[in-house]
Amino acid sequence: MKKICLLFFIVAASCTATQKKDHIISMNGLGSLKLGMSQEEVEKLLNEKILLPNSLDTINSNYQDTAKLKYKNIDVQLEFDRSYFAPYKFRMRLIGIRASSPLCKTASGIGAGTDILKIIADYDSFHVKIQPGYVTYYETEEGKGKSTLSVLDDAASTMDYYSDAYTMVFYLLNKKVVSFELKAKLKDERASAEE
Amino acid sequence: MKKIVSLLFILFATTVVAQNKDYLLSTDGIGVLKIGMPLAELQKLLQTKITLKVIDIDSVRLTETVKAKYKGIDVEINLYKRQDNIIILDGISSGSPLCKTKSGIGVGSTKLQIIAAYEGYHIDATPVFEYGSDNKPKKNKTKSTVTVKEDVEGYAIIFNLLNNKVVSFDVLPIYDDEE
Repeated sequence: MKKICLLFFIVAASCTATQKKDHIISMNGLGSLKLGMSQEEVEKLLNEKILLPNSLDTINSNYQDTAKLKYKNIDVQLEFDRSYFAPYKFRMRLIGIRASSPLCKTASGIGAGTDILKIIADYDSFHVKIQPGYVTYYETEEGKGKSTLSVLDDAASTMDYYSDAYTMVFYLLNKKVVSFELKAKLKDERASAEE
Repeated sequence: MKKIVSLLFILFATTVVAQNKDYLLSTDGIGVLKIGMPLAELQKLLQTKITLKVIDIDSVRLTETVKAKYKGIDVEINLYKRQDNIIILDGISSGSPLCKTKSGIGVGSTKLQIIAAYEGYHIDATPVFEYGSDNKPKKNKTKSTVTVKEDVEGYAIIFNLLNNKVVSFDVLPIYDDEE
């Protein structure tokens, strides 16, 4: 009986550890979902075909597109950007991941419900920006208690776009995290191919 | 005797309040020194004549930095010549421990104290990056800045920190936040 209990405990513990790994937030991705992945790589990981209507549109210059999907049982919004790797040849690459699941946490435990000051303390050596409202690339959603905290890596902070630059964005309500977005400014694939 | 003591106390309290007002650090200046004020008014407040060595001498250059004393503290003044030829105060820097914001932020305050005090503001806390001969940025491990603005653009206080404590500050306008 003791042996069965022990085995059960080991299985349960390893399942929890794997689940946690799947939902770890880092500067460059969420679990095994990494910024910079191609659409095909993401489709393989999610075992799902992703429909990106704008990626087919070469006339209206709609370079970006988003898709709402499930990743390891949580809702995610993925943003893709057109990346040319040869003349007239492009693929869509993952440049943004947005989610609000309480399962998602950084290695130090930052996730939904975390206080603003803990984020600042944890990312003490990073460039941190705090703005009122929910700030996205396109607009700012204003409202009482709403704020946006962005953690920039060194490349994003110094606008070193010869490297991939990453930003982790936390959306807060009354100084507590309610959702997050991971963003990448990826270096030009054509420049990398020429190197 | 009691009357004299209370009179002395009132006098002392008034002096402290007046002094605090003189050194009050805000996004638009220090005490009565306000960003945007004309040079003539500034000279009146500083009770000194500022000798310009760049503006009005070199017609191309529109900015100049001068050192001055304001109510007994050392300040560095940035001047700017506008298109209408009026020279204005465009920035103030100091490291005086007498200067504090309304909420008590000044020399010795920490990054977390600044952030906690400026809820609802635009805050940018960044390590200082230095560029060597290879032109690559290198993060300074001890120096950082915290910029506080009321809006995306406008007047700002930049707190300069060493080992996470404020050592000096600048008040200046920031008009372009494109990053």
